[in-house]
Amino acid sequence: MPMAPNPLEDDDRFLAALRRRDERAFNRLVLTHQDRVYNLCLRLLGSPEEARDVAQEVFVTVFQKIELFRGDSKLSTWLYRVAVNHAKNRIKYLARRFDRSRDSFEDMLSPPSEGRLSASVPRPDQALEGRRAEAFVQRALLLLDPDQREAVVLRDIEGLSYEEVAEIVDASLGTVKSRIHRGRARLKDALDAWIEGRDVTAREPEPDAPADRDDAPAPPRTLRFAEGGAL
Amino acid sequence: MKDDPRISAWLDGDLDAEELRRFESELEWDSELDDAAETMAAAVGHLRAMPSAQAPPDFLDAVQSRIRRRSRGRWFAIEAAKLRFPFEAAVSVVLIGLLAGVYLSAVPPADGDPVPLEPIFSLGTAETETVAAVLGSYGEVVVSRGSVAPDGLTLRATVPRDRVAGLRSELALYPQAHVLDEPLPAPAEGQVEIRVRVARTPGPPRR
Repeated sequence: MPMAPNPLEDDDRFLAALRRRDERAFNRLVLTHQDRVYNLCLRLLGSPEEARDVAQEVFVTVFQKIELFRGDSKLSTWLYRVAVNHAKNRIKYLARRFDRSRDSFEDMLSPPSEGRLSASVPRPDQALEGRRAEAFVQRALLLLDPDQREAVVLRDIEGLSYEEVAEIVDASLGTVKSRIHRGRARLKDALDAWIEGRDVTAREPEPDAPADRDDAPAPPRTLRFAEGGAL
Repeated sequence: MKDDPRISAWLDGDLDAEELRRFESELEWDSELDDAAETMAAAVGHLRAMPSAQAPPDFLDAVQSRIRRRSRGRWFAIEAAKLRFPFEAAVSVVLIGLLAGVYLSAVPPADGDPVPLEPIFSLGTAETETVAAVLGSYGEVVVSRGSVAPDGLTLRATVPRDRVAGLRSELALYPQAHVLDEPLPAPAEGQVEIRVRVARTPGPPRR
């Protein structure tokens, strides 16, 4: 899903209206881009509350700093860059605030304790459907480093080209390709672990929780936070 | 499992023709690479299938509110203007009320329509009102078309014939009341119609 051309962006009068803080023009900008900016923030942060807050801040920043948009790129690209930077700062802030010790990805992939999950975990093609699939993928995204996460989200969820991703994250094309591949590889490992009956996005069960339930795959418990992002 | 960067490039169609041929050839005989490619394709498929979340319905309002608050009302102050007392609406209501009052006091009722005494009372002085009340005590009071004028109004009352003398003597007590002519026969038997001009300002004292 490449970025659709937006007639507003090619309209110099629209940009001029934004620069003179025309409120109607700004409203049009928000209404045009609010869903994509919110969705991007949601996938990067994993929390609807944080996503709403950050997405609103993105548009406030755009309103305040529209002069910084020089027109070298598409307005939506600049908007995405502002959103990615805000989300990245929020991830850092949350990581400091929660002060969580972060388990390494390898630790998460370590084999589960005996009987941790039942053997009746369905295959991904059966289980990863609908909301469960979305929740699993969202949690798996939070396992990625922020750089990898933003590259994967922009490429695979927002459907941007390598070049657009590179422009938004301000990195070279090779760096972007590398981040996308490493991010996907980690997601692939998470998917492998799921197949093998290890939900790497979930914590250990409570001590008194039934360990061998065979009625359904154990739902994800308290989530790990790759960078403190809540889900 | 294999972590080959070509898998990602292959999924994105980023391999050139020679690389693509060589990679797909390897997939044929390298089951580990094939498994890795299949799993990564599934992961990417799940990413691309994620539903697109929509911003909350009040998103624009929330953004405007933030800008308004931080600019101390300089921008997006429309809602703040709506919150102050609606002077324009209040003035409009008062004006409409005044116009309605003037209209009701100036437009005469249709000819022959019985009217309640209260509007008549509002047309004249206290004594005029009293005259109208006296007439009303004798019979049905009717205001003639066009009879309401700045200087007074004409009332018609259908009263029993045998009470006309008493009415006349009672009206004689009020200087602004003047019986215009002799009573006319009314449709109802035993009734006559009497017309009384009631001046708004007190007339000369009557003897």
